[in-house]
Amino acid sequence: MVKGYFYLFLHHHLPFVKHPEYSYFHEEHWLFEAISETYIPLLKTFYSLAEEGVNFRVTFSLTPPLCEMLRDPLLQAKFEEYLDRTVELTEKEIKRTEKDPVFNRLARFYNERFKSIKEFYSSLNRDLLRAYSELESAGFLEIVTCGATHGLLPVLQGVEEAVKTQVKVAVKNYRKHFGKDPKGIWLPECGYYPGVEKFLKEFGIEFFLLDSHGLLYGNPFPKFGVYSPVYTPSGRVALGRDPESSKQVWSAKEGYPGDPWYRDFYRDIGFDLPLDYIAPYINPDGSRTYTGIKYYRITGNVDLGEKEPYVRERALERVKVHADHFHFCRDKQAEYLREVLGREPLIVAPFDAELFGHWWFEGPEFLYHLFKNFDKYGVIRPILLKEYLEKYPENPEVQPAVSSWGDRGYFDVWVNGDNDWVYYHLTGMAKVLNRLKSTVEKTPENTRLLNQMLRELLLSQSSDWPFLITTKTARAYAERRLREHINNFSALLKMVETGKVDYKKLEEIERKNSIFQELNFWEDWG
Amino acid sequence: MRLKIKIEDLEKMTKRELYQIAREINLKGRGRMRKAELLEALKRELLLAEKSAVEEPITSNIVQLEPVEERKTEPEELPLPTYEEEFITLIPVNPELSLTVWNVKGDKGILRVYVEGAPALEVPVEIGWKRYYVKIRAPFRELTAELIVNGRVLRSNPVLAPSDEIFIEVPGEIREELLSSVPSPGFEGRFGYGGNNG
Repeated sequence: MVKGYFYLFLHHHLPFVKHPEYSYFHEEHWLFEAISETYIPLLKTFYSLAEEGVNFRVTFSLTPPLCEMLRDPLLQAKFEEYLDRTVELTEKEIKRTEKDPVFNRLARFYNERFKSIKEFYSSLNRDLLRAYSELESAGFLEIVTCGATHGLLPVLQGVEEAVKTQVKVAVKNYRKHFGKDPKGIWLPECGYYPGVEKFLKEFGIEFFLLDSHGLLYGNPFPKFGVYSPVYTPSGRVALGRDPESSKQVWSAKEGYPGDPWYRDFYRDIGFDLPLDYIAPYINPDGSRTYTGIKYYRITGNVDLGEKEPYVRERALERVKVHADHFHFCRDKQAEYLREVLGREPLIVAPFDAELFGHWWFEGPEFLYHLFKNFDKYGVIRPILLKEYLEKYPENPEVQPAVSSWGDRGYFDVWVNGDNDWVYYHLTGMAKVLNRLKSTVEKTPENTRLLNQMLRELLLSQSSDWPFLITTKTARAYAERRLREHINNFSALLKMVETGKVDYKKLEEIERKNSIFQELNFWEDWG
Repeated sequence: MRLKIKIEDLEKMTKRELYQIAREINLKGRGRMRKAELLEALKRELLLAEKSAVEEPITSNIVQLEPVEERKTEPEELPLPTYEEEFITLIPVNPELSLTVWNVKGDKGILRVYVEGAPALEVPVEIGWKRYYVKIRAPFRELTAELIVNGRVLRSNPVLAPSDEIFIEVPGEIREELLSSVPSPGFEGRFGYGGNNG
């Protein structure tokens, strides 16, 4: 007997980071780590479930910058180099640890793991998007889009064309990569304001997700709280996050990933081993970084030096315990909610995909066992939105509240004294494009310049940059990127206005900031 | 010993203080580190200092970090442009805070903010500030801003303020159950998960 439905949503996003001017670039490793630690392990998990006949359901957002990077030949080649380097390191590690059975076993574990990731990657001809499409065609997965460059739409609303373009370019890019139109969108950072809906409607996007308070502070209060979809005034469907199930997985203190048997993220041989040994596998300037080879378990509240070696078998046992616990909690939660609400609840659980595998090393195995549990007990059924709407087409009508899933729930993370200087430029550049669209002649040269200006504006709109400035993680890089795009925009504007094109500079910018080759300024802006 | 502090001290410090120490000891890659990473890196340094006199067992691989050259290619600051277009725009921050951003010619002006069309704030501003935070609590209500410079009036886009209030009373148990789940939002998106195993 089904007591409730479980809607797992994994948000896959990274900002566009591509540096053809360097053979090794630290921030490109965000992508390489995400592929090898999260995207491929998750895909392997879902393929295993499919092969075992487990009827799972999951919804993914694959953001346009991520899709563009996953299909970029230069980044694909660099990723393979990264894998080769890492496999080589694991081989050296097998040798280095040969007199120590505990660490030698772990070295072999990583060697096998990275080799199998490489094999998987090659078997797809480097094309992860193909794997996602396959799972979608098989009915297990629904892929939705996101803002073109993960621009936080409520803070861009001062120039409507900017918001419209984030949606329009995203839909166009989705079509390019998946050959059809997206039905849903992950509003970047869950950032919602009512004005966005007319653009969602215009481009055929039927649903989006909100953080819990986006629904609970809505008007009127939704009859089923966050436990059913709601219809918005423009006829879109909005889903609200269930805080309870998120917390168990996400919370630093109460969540599963802090279990002492799970692998420790921070203790990494990139920091532990002598510099001359590890040098080829860290930053060429000698600054230490993560290699992905981590031999210790969380152990408990102890210092890094006192951590104990990772025991894979024990960690996998804990995963099962946690998947059982999570399943039990959803069962009880749904049972209670069904009683109170009078119908089976929809439990919406969105996460950043990178939680699974990158931060929580055993996360993909957790999902594997969780879906096995759903399948085995049959009381909680994983579901896609369209399937739920077929069962329950009647849902409350609510105007959601302006909100985000950021710290404190609004936009403080992206708009504060450290990063607010950027909004002068984001507004200014958008206004410039409005002017140019109606005043500039459509010559091939101008089109080329304007296309690149639009790329620069889109790239500078990524919510990642103000976020990284606020959290002071990679702050220097984020500021540098913002200045670079703003500066490129202004240099290109000068070329449009004077008619003097610096082809060398233009080509350099085009090669580096090569996102959205399909872009056409005249159609895509505004 | 390069560090004269204890691990307990480090744990109480802010990111800024940790960074200061990291700079003093010339810790590599500090500019790229999250707070948790900075803390862990400094703990490593402490351990190194403490363990440097003790013989290492084979399973503990912490070794003295060699000094390496600082990355020399500090990027030059790229200049930031100004724009021809005049504008004033309004950006929501939270239920009681909004940001206005403008680009207008002139020295001084008057900023007016309206809530649902009614004047709520009037404040003199210097045009050179380019932005001003407006503190008006107006959950789920519409704000607009006007900038008056030399007799000219620029109007902003309207903005619906974020809300932190429940709209209507719903009876009994449902309300209690549903509200028990009203969040203390803590998500921070892609880079926000600080890890819990440090």
